[in-house]
Amino acid sequence: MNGAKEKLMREIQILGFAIVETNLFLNTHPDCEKAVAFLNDLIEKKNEKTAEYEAKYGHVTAAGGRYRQSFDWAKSLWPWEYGFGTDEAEVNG
Amino acid sequence: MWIYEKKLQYPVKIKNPNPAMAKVIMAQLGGPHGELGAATRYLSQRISAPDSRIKATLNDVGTEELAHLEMVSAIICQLTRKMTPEEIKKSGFDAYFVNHTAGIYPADANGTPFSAKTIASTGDALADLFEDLAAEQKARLSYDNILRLVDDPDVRDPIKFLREREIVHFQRFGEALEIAKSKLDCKNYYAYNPSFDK
Repeated sequence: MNGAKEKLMREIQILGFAIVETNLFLNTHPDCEKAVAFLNDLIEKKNEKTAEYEAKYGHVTAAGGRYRQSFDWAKSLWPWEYGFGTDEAEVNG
Repeated sequence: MWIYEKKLQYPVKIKNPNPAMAKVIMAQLGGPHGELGAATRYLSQRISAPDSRIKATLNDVGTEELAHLEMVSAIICQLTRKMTPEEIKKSGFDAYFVNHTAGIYPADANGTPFSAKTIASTGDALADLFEDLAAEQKARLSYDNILRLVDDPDVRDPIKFLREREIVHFQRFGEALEIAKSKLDCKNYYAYNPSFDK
């Protein structure tokens, strides 16, 4: 089990969801300054969490952070793989 | 263009396989109110939309639908893992299995392949947006029906998330429609002559 990895991915998912939701609201209310400030704050937080995740556990986007030795993108589990007998904690949720 | 994020929009972690449930949920993969149709509908319609706010709405909702297609695929994938021949026969999943094994193929719950006949893209902003509002309600009612048929909380949880998104998208398309209407001549109250295609 790798609870810390799962917890960090969950935080990224929550921030990513809040960003999608605010993005959709702003599409029809592009001059709402309060929502723009809210979105800016979310983007900053998500970028921080994603950078932390990529440094510790591997890439969230293929061209995210720098690669170390091998191309972890093609070696880590995919998000739909849960319960197939591989390390379930490896699954990103 | 798109950039893939290696995560689901909302977690799918189903402990107990159940191919009978998977069969019902196929409706939202390749069915008439499903996520593939939704993504195809909005990403096609956005090209001719008359206002950058409407284009943005169609672009971003269409993109989110691709993430929902991935979630529905994950649900079906996990519900059909490690099936025995007995389970396949007993669950009624055999008719799908004979062609597709446990692979993901965009068909509806009856096995009818996905068809673009289930969507419209008319080049007319009002016709398209009214279609989109109806499409979100039809997707919502399909998820409501799935929730009537499915009792596993591991499955219900992501299905409830997807249902909720239909309601939010309906709201956003309603606002997009108001934007389209606000650009019509003020005498054109019933929007019978939108003139967006000139």
